[in-house]
Amino acid sequence: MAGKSQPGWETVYRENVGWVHRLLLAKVGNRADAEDLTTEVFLAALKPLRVDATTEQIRAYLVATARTVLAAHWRRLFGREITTIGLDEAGEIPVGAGENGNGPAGAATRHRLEAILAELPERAREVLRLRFLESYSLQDTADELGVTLANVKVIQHRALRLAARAAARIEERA
Amino acid sequence: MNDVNRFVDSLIGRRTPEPFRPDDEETEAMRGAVELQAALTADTAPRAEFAARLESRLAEQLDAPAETSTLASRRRVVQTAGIAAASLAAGVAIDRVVRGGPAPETAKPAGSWQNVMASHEVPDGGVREFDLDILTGYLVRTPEGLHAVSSTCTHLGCRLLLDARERQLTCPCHPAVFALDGDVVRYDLPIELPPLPRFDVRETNGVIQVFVPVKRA
Repeated sequence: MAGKSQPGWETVYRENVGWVHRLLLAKVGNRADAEDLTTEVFLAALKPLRVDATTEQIRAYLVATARTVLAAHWRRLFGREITTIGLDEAGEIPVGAGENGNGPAGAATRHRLEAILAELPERAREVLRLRFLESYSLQDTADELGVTLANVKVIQHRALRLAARAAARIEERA
Repeated sequence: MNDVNRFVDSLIGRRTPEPFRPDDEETEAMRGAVELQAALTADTAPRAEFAARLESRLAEQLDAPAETSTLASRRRVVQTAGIAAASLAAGVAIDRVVRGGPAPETAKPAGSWQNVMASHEVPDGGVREFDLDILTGYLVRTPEGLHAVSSTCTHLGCRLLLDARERQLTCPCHPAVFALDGDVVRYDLPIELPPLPRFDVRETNGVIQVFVPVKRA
């Protein structure tokens, strides 16, 4: 393409908003926060971007900004970071994943959920399945499994810690 | 542990969590909860209304008149608008002549053949942008031959960008995508979007020429 056609910020925004939002959604787990953080990233990042930056430079810069914004978000809420964006995560973004973003809906992530659950003991798996897939309350989960509320709280707490470790192991294997 | 339970409830209920000060074990449990919830939701694209709202916020911030050295492309917008106005005007004439197939030589409007680039600069399957001030476009060489298509969006005249991977022209201003032959691929606009005009093109002595159907001012 001729040197004249530098993309404007609108192009940079449109090509990148999809994966930035998806990355942050994967790190905070709820859409409202993912939207707020995506907004923060683009408000902070677009202004100082050079017009002649390459696609890779723009991605790297957006990942770095997202990392900072996510860290600040967790510190604000909990005084420490719950999830982080790794230095290597820029490389995992599929090329061209930006624009319409209507990838194979949920297939890959659903697979990931099953992979995490498969690593857990049966009781832990049942609790998390009811809670996250069926949106059961703790009380409903206790009733379903025939255990006390206090009991299901303990199981869930342990199950979540195991899930975090299982997810980390799956990440390493990938 | 109850704080973590509330955190999990907020995730499952898709709400923003309440702040507290978790210890190491609680942090690990929360990370597990985020992992699970993310695995359920992470593949979803941003809501269209969110993406549009953020874009207009960015426009307010970035298109401020003071900006010159950043991505805020005010200068480019002005420049593009000038080309767009001329190209749209030209497009009307071009469209009548070119779009319905080659017209007899005698029916051509006033204009001239202008050199664009050397033939070898557009290889087989290649797409190259050209800029003749009064009109801009892309040269495309396919097995069927060489053709030239306008790069001015038929909506509001923004300059289209080449998506080389998809072999499509996308509008940076509004959702509109054109094929390299000028046909509309898709768009999301409250209007009828005409296809892109095509220009007559010829190759003589290793030089590609495009017929510019209006005289330059």
